Amino acid sequence: MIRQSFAILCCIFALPAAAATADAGTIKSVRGQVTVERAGKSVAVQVGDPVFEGDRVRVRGDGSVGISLRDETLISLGPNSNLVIDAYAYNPTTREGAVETSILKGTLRYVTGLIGRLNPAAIKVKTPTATVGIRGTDFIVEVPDEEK
Amino acid sequence: MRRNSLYAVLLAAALLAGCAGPPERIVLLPEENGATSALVVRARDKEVVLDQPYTVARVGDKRIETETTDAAAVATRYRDVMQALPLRARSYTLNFEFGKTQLTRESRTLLDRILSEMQELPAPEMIIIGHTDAIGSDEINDKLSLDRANSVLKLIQAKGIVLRDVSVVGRGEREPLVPTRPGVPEPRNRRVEIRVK
Repeated sequence: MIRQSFAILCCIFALPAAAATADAGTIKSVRGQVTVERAGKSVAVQVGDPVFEGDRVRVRGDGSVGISLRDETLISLGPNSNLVIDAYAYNPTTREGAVETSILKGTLRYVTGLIGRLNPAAIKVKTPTATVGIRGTDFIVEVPDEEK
Repeated sequence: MRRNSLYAVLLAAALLAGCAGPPERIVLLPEENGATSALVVRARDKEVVLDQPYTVARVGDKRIETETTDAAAVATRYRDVMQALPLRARSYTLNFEFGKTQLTRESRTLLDRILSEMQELPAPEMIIIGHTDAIGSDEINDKLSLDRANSVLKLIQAKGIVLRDVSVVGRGEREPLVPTRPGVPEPRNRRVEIRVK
């Protein structure tokens, strides 16, 4: 069973062309100044904009952003936050995939979605010093700003 | 000599780590449906398991400490992320007249209600998911379930409604409402689920 799901996961990752065109999720709420850095460019985002694997989402000052990923993973970022979507893959038919994010600064609330329900090991959340492994979950991560 | 310089780098790294400010905090929140959940927090060679809601792991430069918080403290300290979290997806089930591609009367009414409720969501998305019973191969059922989902999309389009963000998915027989053995007919599993977020 494990071997089988591994083989299917490999198939997903072996199709980078298909993965690159699909978005990872949608911005659902924006308060204050929220930008996404993609391919070296930083753009302000609005409700309804897509996010992609590799994006760096920044909340500057006293703002916040809410994001729903395609597998129904829910993410919100608080003031002065910086999150990178390191990897995102999702097969809606089998609900297999992987979600890897790094919170470099600020506050993150994270509710795991359909990928995590099937395979919690496919969800990874990193901070500058820790990794969080998940067993079906809603949680908050706070990373203080070292420059303060 | 080489060995000495390696130690110097390690020491510098350790000193940098020692300069770190306040600890990172990881807080386990309760599941909405009361189910149990847990987090495993790892930092360097340390590991802590959080398995009770409102337990906090404080990841410092030398150790991971745990403490307890509560709903009121979380609502205050983390007000922004609590408010900014998108709504959870809502799920609805549409049934078909027996052996037909036509929705039951109840399901037609439900579909109209879903479409009007969607308009109140920010950047609404609809996912139409077809399901089959356990008769036939995966290949056939994957296609059949996708056809079933597409037939609901056509119904919506026939109403003249244009959804900006809609996707159709065929889940085949992977997610029966009523689990059966392979090859057993089960009309209740031949359905379309609509998820709205």
